[in-house]
Amino acid sequence: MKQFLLSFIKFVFPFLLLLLAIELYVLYYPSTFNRKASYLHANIASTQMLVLGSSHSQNALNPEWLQLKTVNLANPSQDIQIDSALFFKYAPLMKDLKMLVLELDYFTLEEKNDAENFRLPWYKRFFGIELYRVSLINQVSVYASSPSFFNQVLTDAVNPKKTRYNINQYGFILNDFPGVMKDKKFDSLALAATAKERLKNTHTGISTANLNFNKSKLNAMINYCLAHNIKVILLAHPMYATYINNEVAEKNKRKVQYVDSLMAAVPTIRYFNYETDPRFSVHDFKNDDHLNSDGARKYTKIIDSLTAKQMISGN
Amino acid sequence: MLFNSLSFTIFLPIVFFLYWFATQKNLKTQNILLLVCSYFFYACWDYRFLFLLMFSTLLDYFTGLKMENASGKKNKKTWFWISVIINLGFLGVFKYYNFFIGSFADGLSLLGIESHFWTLNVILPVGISFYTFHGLSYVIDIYNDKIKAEKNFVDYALFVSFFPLLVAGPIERATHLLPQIKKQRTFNYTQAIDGLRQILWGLFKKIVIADSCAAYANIIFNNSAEYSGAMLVLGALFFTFQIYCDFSGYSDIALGTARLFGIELLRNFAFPYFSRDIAEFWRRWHISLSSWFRDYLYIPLGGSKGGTWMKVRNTFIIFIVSGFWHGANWTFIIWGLLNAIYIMPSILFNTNRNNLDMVAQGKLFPTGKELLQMITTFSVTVIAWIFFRAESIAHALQYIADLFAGLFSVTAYREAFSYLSHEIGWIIPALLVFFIIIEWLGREQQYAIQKWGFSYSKTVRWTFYYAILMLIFYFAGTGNEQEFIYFQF
Repeated sequence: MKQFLLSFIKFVFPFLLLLLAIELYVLYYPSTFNRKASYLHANIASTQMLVLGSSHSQNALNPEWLQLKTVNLANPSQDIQIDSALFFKYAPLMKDLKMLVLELDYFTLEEKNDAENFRLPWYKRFFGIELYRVSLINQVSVYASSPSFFNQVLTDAVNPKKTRYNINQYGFILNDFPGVMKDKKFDSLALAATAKERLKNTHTGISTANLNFNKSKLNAMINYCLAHNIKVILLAHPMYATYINNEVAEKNKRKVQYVDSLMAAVPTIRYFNYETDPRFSVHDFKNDDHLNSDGARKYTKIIDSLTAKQMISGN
Repeated sequence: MLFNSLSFTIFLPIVFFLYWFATQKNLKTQNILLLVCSYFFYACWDYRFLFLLMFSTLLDYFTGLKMENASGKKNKKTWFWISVIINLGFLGVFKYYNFFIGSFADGLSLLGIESHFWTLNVILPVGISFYTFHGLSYVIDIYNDKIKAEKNFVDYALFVSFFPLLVAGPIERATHLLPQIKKQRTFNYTQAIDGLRQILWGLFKKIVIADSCAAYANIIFNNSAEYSGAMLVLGALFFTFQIYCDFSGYSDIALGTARLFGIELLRNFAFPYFSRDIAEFWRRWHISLSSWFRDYLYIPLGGSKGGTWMKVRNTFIIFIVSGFWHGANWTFIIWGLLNAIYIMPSILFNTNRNNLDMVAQGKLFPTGKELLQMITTFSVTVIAWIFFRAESIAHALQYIADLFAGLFSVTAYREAFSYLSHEIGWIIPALLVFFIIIEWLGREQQYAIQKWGFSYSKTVRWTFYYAILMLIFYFAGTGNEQEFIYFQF
């Protein structure tokens, strides 16, 4: 038995070392999550503006180009439930917080992640947020939360042909990784021709239960802001025409109704809809619903002047 | 709890250490521990069906004792039939009730009679076909005075429920497993290392080959109307490797795991795809089931003693029953029937025991004749697997018709080549080639890598094992993992 155990340990040890190396790599390689968490924790007391939302906000607003000291905590597939959890964890610690920027896109109100979302353990790891019970193995290992995702990360890391993300200290991706616009050579006709197939499953989910749940979360954040003299800006980011044409009318209608009722109830809230803003052309997009780096630069400047104006005038 | 799950990776070492260290090598304590762990293993899937397993165990345990103590032949027979009827009754209710009712209703509707029957909305208890057959073999052996009834309930319950074989076999015999359960077991280094090696190869087969093939077999079979000849061949080939690697991979893990506890289970697969005829294939495929049917159905029916007609009849019966054992669907019955037809020439011309040894024994390459025989056997097996995988007989027939219709179309080959290079990539085909080579080189062993690299240095051998381990680790994370196919039987 002793010989067996020794042989087994000798065999398994290098493999365990490799697993540890993989775990350390996925934990510390430059990712938007770890950069955002580091920046947030280092600058929490001096943060003036907090941005929340999905990848739409993540790719649209670069804190580097904003005058207010900003933390952008928007992440891929982040729903209002997570926005709310992040907000209530960090807003009380942001003693200088002046403005909250929330995403109110066409799709956000009726989306809600379930417990299976593979990024949820990352929120526990990087931000200490546990919406659903995170299993012990996912608490111990980031890799275990999504081996397929991290296998791709590892494969890409050793593939010299793959685009390396250039992520700044705020967790914003500065370079343009491949997207359909580039693939189709920014040809609007080709993009339109393939849009139906491409977007058939994009944000098509409808759920009034999610709508009510998200409204309550949004209202709670807004009430907190009102009570603490924090301005609230709701944004619908620029989208490419193909995405707009794919929108479900009744879902959009419900969003408009909510925004109207909110504006009527709380006049100090500002809602800005840039979805169809003519200043954004096909060259500003990475794909149907995400701005590229050029688009983000243009858009962040617009939002910067908007927030500056809001700070001065309060209107 | 699946063998390829993280929970099993934690469960197995815990049981191993408790078994060898916490029980002070006391046989009684070891058996109780294994039984408790086996029930826990089963309950992880669905604790409600644990009661069914326990009931089935108690039934066979008591009927076994009653048979042995029966005052006369008639009394013994009564207890025997009580056990058989209840065992098969459970199997019938859980596995076949809806099928029979549905088929009966379909039959009536063909006669123009509309009928509505009550169907069961139950899931199939995992492993029911396996543990029922364990129990049946036990009571049949007692009835035939081949064995004595087991007095120790724990030992008997462990024979039925030993976790490595509980949900998907091999289907053990009391004559083989019970004596091992009752004997003092000592830790054997070589046996344990061999067990780990077999587990490693089983995981490779399941996670790397079977699950990868399953992803593409599913796409092609589920959308078969959209594809033509060569693509359908590709789909059938993927399923052929999927089912072999899935089931034999499971068996390897089961056998390897049992070895860690000093127990040898029956061999279930012996490189069936290297068979030179169908009779040989069936001696090498799911051996524990084939031999079960041989001993408890074919021979009692008269076997091959009653002339050609008797042999033909009995062969058809065991293949059809074997097909039906696999699932309550006509596709499985046709699969069994097709195999009976395949094997018929060798039954009629008495050539079914022509190829008893391994092909090209002691040689690196087979002869041209052997190669041709292997390719022919493999090809007809692939056709039969289409029935096994298809949703219905109509689906299988359409699949085969489309396959042959497009078999000689150049565009179909272009489509398949493009699918291979763009959708699948060359990693899976390369791994399949690697797998076939290793299986071929190790075909004279119990499992392919049993003696692999023994003539090389430890560094070379361990590098090979690490490569296998890395592939398992990588493919385990691709999100392709599937349940073992034989869990549904």
